[in-house]
Amino acid sequence: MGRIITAIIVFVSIITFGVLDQVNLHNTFGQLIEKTEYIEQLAIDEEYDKAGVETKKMLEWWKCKRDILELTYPHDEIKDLVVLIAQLDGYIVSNQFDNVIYSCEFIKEDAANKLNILAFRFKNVL
Amino acid sequence: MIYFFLLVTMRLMGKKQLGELQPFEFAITLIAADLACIPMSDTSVPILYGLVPILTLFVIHLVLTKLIKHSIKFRRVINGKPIVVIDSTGINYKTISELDMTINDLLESLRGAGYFSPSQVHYAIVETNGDLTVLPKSIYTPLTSKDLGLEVPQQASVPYMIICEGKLLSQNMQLAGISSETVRKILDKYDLKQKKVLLLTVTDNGELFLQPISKPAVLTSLNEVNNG
Repeated sequence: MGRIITAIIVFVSIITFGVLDQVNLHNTFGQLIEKTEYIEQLAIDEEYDKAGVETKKMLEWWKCKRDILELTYPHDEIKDLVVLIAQLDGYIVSNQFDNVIYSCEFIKEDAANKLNILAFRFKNVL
Repeated sequence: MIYFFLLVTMRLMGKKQLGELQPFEFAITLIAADLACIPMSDTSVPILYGLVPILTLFVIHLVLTKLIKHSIKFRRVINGKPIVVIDSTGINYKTISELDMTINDLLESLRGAGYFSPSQVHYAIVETNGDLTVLPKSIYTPLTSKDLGLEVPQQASVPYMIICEGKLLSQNMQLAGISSETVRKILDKYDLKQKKVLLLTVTDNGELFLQPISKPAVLTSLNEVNNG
């Protein structure tokens, strides 16, 4: 009986943890794409100072989120994004504004791609 | 951490896991071993990548075990069924061919069971875990007291371990109905200290086996000890 109870607890824990983890994954990547779109819009409107501040905020935010994601996902899948955001920050700091929109598009595409790989989908299971 | 986690999981899966493995148990053991290696061999993989699948296997194992216990049909599908390879007509070649066994494999298994010729065997059965069980012909069966019509004394019970490597096992003392006073008497009689005793066992009918660490073993009884 003890083993059955343990198994039920384990099963419920796995399902609950899995669902919460997927919710967190979708929220995190969704927010990353939203934040990047906002910065891209600022760049289109040529508000580069504000874009620089938002990029720095996004970099710090992502570092916190990354630490949580790395508990449940392979680090290799997560670590690249911090480099891309830092690169975006670098373009703004060094006044290479032509590259900002290109960099934002790159981050958005990479985030969507990583979400596609990490999310629970039947094709990912197969 | 993974090692201890795997150890706990295997213990939860049951003792049978360590001995006679059925096909599904063997598969689960292999997969669990492989899963445990993944986070250990690659530091970029979170430890949960090993733990969660092992826990999932534990749940699957338990479900399969319960289904196997309750359904004979399911048991046959998962474990297979014992197959008779030798019967009263001799070796069943068709059956051993279906099992991909050769005659040499069969003879080897028979020798392992203590029979050097198929002529000694009445029935031989390949069990679901791959073991060969042999029922010898009656002329090759060892004589028993029942065959001889002898009355033998009642079989001694399983001995309780009272002292093991110098440590007193109080739970076993309770089961055997032995008091600390009796243990002290036994030790005093043979001039021993508790920590100098390798093993002390007692059976239900009072037989004592005392093995000191650096002296020869003593076979005695509680009556003898009590009578001085």
